[in-house]
Amino acid sequence: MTTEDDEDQTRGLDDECAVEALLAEAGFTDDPHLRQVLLQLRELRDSDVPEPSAELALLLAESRTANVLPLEPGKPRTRKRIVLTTLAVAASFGVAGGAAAGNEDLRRGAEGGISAVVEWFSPPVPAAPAPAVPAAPRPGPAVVSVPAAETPATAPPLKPLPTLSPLPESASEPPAAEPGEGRHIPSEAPGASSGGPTETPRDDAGQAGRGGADATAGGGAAPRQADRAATPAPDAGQGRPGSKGNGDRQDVPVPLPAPKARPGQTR
Amino acid sequence: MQRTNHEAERSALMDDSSFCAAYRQFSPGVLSYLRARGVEDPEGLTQEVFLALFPQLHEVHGGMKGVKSLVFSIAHARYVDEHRRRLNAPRTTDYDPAEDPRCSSSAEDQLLAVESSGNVKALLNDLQQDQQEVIALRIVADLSVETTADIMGKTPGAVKQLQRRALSRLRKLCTSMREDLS
Repeated sequence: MTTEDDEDQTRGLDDECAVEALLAEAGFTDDPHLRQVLLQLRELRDSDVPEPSAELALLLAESRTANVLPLEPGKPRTRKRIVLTTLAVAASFGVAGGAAAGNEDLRRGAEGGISAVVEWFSPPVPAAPAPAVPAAPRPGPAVVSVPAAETPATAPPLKPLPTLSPLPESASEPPAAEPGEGRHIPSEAPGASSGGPTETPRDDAGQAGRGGADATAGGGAAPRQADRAATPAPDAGQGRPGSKGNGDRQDVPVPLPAPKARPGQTR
Repeated sequence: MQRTNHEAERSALMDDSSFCAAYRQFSPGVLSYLRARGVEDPEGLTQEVFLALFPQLHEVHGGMKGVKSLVFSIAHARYVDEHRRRLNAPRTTDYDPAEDPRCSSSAEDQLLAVESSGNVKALLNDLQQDQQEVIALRIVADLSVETTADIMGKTPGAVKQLQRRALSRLRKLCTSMREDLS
């Protein structure tokens, strides 16, 4: 017997069983004709699977390939793993940044480093106080400048200031502004000495020597020599060429045009 | 969590794979049911039934038994739509000399017709619509009383009553047919 015959036989048995059950439910078990009709109705059942259409065949093919997917469960896991790793790294960066922002030591260290870098890149700041200080002391130098000539040896070390000496007239401005600060004047007021000597008495020479020492310390020696040259020769020719201090004092009476220059310079 | 999702995916895939099994197992019954109900294009309607089944397959509960109930529910709904459409539209069929009522058949042909399965459809068509549906679902589709009741929207008791009346009607038709032949 072939398999088809076996299938037909089993199917026939199933049909008979189903019909008998149906007749038993309805109470017509003793009617062979009705049983025959019901068996013919059972034969309407088709056992062949109909050929699927193109659209249905596509769905069936997809459902068949769906069976293969469970064999590759690693793909979705790797994707999820990448996402989790990314989130973990981002969270760690966020926590580290917050901790760094909350620590004052780190913040101060960062500020110090930034300021050091900024200072390194920024151009050197000029000595602003230097010009301001010389302006104030001028009135003083007018008084002290005469003895300063007695200590010319001390002047050399402070040569940088001579740059201001060529402008004796500019030095005349400060006295009017700050007359009270006489001691600081010698440092930069060479021109001021020209006006000073005229008023200073010879008795003050000793004190003036002190002041001159201070003045030399301020660095105003060079201008004084220029003042000497400007002074009239008659005094020098009259005597005491050997004594330095006397020579300086003789130069004092000669008036200098410095006071006239003040308004011109200021203007 | 990941394991649960994986299991859910696997169950979804099982549902997708069960579509092939459902088609192999139930498509012959659906085709036979639609043929027994006299649908114009039973093969095409069978394809539509399973195309409608595919998106609903993930929502089925009860395994293959539930799938079978859903498949024949869709088939029944499609047949009802087809029947209503046929009632509203004029019937168009090709000419078949064998089915021409103006032709008279011999006594031998009538006897053979009674015995043949082709004539069973004529007997079935003499029943009421509900009775036809119960017989088709119970005998051709091989469904239980409960499933038939669910598909038809009736109680099992009502289905049993319809079934009993249908069989009684068939019994009378067979008797009268034999008497006519004799």
